Amino acid sequence: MYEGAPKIETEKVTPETIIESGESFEKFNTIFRRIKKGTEENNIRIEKFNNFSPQMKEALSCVAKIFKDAKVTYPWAIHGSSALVLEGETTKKPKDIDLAFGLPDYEKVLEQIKKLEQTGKISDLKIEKMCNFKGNENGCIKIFAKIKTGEGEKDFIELEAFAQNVDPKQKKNGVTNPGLERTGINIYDMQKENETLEVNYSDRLECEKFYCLLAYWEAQEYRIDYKSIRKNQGKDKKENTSEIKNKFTQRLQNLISLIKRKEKEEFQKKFKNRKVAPEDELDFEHISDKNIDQLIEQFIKHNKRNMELEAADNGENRIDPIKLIKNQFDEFVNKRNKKNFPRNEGYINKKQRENNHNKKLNREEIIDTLTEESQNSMEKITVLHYNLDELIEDCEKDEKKCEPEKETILINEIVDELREIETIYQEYLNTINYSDNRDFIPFISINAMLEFVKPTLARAIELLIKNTIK
Amino acid sequence: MKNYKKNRENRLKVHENIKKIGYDKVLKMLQDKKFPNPEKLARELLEDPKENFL
Repeated sequence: MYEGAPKIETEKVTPETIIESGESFEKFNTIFRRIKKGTEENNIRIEKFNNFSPQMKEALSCVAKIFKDAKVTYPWAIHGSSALVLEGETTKKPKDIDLAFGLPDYEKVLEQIKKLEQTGKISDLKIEKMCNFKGNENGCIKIFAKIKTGEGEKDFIELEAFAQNVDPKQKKNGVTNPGLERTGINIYDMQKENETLEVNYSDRLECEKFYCLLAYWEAQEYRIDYKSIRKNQGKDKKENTSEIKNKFTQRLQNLISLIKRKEKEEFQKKFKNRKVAPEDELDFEHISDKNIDQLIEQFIKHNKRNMELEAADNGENRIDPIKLIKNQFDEFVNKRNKKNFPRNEGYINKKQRENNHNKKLNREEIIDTLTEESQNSMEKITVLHYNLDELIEDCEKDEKKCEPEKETILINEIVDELREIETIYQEYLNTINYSDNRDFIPFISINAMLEFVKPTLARAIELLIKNTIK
Repeated sequence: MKNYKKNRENRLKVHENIKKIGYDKVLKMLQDKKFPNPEKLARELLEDPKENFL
């Protein structure tokens, strides 16, 4: 057994009786549904699955074979972007494979992966003990590997497999814990060299839960993390930013994608027998106020446990993501309702125009672009903040080290950098079209960046004024 | 572990300091440094930080 892995007494976990009913059955608190052609929804799922790239299919078959040969006892399921493609209204293509499985199956799964490592099918194998959001080890183990999908150097798909707790007597230790919590898994059959393989995917509800839970914690990234800056002092400054993962708004966009898919399916069912194509009647690109309300409702529904934990643990010190979404949407709507408010081009349109010479970006690609841009800005600001702190600390420790002129030069550089970021995001904010809800997610992201700049800017301005007075 | 309490305290401390400096000096500095919309930014830096982002 992997050193440090918690020992789980598997015999104490009693599997529920397998209830087979048509194409679905229940086992270990999990409802499995075999996805077969027939219903409109499943036809679309299968079409999307079949449209995965040959490389992705190759990697999926490899993963399915690992779990088949390992003869795992507990459920396993792929989540993340790959599941979103099957369950959401998205044009994204799956790029990697993230999955969760039962910790008692860890050794069996690792053994199969190591066998494939010897054949060269798998490389870059890494094992990591995972921590919870408080930084304490939580018993979950991550297996990282690259699955070879061709002969070229870049022909591989990354796999992140999380071995998670399934013992009901122990705490949940992952964003999703199939086999412990009530879970829904969709099974896709795959043929590979005369062998039928089963690829397990989180169902729509599970995807919804997954993104709501992740986003809840990721909202905290919109604040300079003083401790992680300090912790890495003396190390490469780039390492100070390693903990920044600005994905909050991207997750919200994913949740919107799930809502839109559900809405589309309901619409198609309702108008199944009509001759007019439903797509001609409803613009599925449009995001209604109701969609945003649904997003907030989902967020609250899936984060009840987090909210309770937070209330019991000085929660007032964290950013409240629910308040954040609600307040931001109120602000968005207020601006929309203001008389004579300029109807701007819209952030989405601006980004599309900027990229027109290459290709027209869809709304998800635009959110991705903004996420990447603001991630870089946040990293830059974090390093600047670190530099500032270091300077002040050195001076406080030893007055001989105080060099006001040198300080002023550095602070000026910092202020210049911050002005550049502030200017860019103010420009972005000016393009927001408040009558188009597709701009709501970029609106949160831009506002969050502008807020992120403020503490560092305030600190730099304060020091600059003090130095000028000296 | 993210030190939420310390982060909040630091942010409030920075905010208190800039408030003591006062609007006029902050505005002048932002104008000198050619920040866009300096009046609005100076007001925002001196206002209480937005609660939902704090």
